[in-house]
Amino acid sequence: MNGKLEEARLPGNHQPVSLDDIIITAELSQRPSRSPNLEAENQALVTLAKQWASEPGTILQALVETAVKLCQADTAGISLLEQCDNGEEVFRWVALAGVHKDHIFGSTPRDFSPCGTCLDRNAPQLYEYPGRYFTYFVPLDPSIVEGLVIPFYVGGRAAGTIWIVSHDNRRLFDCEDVRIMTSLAQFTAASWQVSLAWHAAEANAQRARQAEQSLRISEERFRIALKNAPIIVFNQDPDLRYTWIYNSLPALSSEQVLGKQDQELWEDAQPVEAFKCTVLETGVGGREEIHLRCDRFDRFYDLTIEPLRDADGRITGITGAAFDITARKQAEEQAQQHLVQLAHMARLSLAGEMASGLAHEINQPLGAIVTYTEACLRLLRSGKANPDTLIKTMEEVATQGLRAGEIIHYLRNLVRKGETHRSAVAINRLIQEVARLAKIEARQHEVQIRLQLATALPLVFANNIQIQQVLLNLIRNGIEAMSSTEVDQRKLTIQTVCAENNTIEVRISDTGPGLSADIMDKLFQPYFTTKPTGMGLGLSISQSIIEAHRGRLWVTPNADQGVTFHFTLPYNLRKSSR
Amino acid sequence: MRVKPTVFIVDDDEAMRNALCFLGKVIDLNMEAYSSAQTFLENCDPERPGCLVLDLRMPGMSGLELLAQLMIRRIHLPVIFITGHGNAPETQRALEAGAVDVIEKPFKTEVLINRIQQALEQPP
Repeated sequence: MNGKLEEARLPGNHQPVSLDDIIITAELSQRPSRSPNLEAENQALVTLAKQWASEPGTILQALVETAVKLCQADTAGISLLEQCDNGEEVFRWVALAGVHKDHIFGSTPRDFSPCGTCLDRNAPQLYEYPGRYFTYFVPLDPSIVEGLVIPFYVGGRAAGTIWIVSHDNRRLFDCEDVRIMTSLAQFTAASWQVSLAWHAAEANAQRARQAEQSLRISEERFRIALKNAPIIVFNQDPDLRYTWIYNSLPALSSEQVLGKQDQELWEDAQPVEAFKCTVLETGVGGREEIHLRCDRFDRFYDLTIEPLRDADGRITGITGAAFDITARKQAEEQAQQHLVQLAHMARLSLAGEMASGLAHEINQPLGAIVTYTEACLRLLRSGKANPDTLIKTMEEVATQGLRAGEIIHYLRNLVRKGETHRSAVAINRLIQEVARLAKIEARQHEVQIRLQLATALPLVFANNIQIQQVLLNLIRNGIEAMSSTEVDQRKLTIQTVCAENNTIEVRISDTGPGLSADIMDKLFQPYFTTKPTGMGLGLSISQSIIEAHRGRLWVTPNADQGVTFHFTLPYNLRKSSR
Repeated sequence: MRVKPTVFIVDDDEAMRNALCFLGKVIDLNMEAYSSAQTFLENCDPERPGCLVLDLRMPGMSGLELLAQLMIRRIHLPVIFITGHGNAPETQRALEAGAVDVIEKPFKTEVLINRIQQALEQPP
């Protein structure tokens, strides 16, 4: 009978096979059941319990090996329900023992598998040649003759199955197998629940450890970065006493700073305290460059201050970060020094170029002086001297002496070694002074100089002599550019206007032939010159000077004739209003 | 009796012109001053004897250009150049063009007076 049955149910029968054809659970009650081997079972369970206690990670494997042994099955396994990345649910073979143990971690679909049907029916199921219906089992060799699948639940939810398989038609499962496997399924559920909890706890602990670790690393990084950065961070209360400071100054410890005000720490604390007071009063943060000094300590900081507020928005103090910019300041100072030297050199060269014209200008009054005095001497010697005539003449001599002196004064200014010193300068007055000197040259070149100066301009913070040098360079360039212009058209216009972004703009326009695009490009390069004499440093130095004053120097063609050189100088609203 | 000669001064510098005219009064020389070569040319009478004290470098027509104009108009006036520029390239050219002398400002009046007398004694 077994033979016939087998024949009818063998794979290869081309009748369509239904799920009910392969499930023979009902047959179990009709099969003779073997008597339980309680001793073996008891021993196995004790071993499992010990294993679980000592090595909880291997308990599932131990369970399937026990199943193989107690049920004399060919293969046993535990399938756990798991969700794939794509959301699909599968049974994962997390533990296998026996013939097909190498298929560990294989999987079957939740919706189409003996395990799935078992969970759907919520009871142990016995399958006969399941490969007839679940054709993905066909390649298995040896193939599955019978499979007994027991569901297990964790926390009221289906978690997976434990199963045994026979590959031999002489070993068919009975009720005793169902009892043993049900017992192992309970064991599996319990151990899996614990394992899940343990894994969750472990994962949590791991996460906590990682979080702590990364926090520590980040804190450490922050600390190292701050420690090695030239930055001081601090808080001050409404009385501007330091309440907290990190990375205190090299010269002062935190203890020396806390509770103190700036005026107790620095020699000239007035500007920094005024700045902080403004932030406290207005509630608007700000940024300023400050200079701090006490014994053996002299540094520059880029200081940012923000107000601190409580929950109601009331200002409770300030917080600040001071970035050490001493090195930058020193570099700037060095560049400034360098520019001062270069500018001086260029002025000497300029003085050289102008010397001939100036000498002529000095010789005119000197010639007049000598002629007047010698004529007076003749009068005196002849005894025909009339005091009125002599007085009038001597007055004229004095005037001419002063005229010569004025020119020498200009020349001396020009060759004077410039200081780095900057002061508040009235740009119009500077232009008027330079124009007087430039008019000597202008007259020789028959150029008219016209001044169109805006009234009530704010003062600019500038190096007097360097700005005069720029003006003189631009004026002389303009004058020389007009040598081929008709004499009555030779007009040089110097204009001052209040421009945008708190700057004053100076414009120097000529009526020369203009500049080609090619020359315009190279105009500000050092040693570029269109003149037979001169070093070609004038414009490049002028540009450096203006840029050092945070201004800009550029050139534009005029609508009608010639070009206009423009330069801007910023004025500080706050400083000029003080 | 010969017409008293005139020393014509052409210089763009007012102080220099005034000083020379004052000197002329003191030493009893007829002097006439012009502020540019152009105004002198416009007022120049070829019949009037005298000499010319001429600034080399002036805006507009220079001293050398005036000398050339005089030659073109066949006006033969001895010329003494005065200049504020020592060693100017024009100095050599002025001498080659037949100037009596080129005197650098400032100069001793005695030198200028000597040259003026020398020029006035030249045969026309």
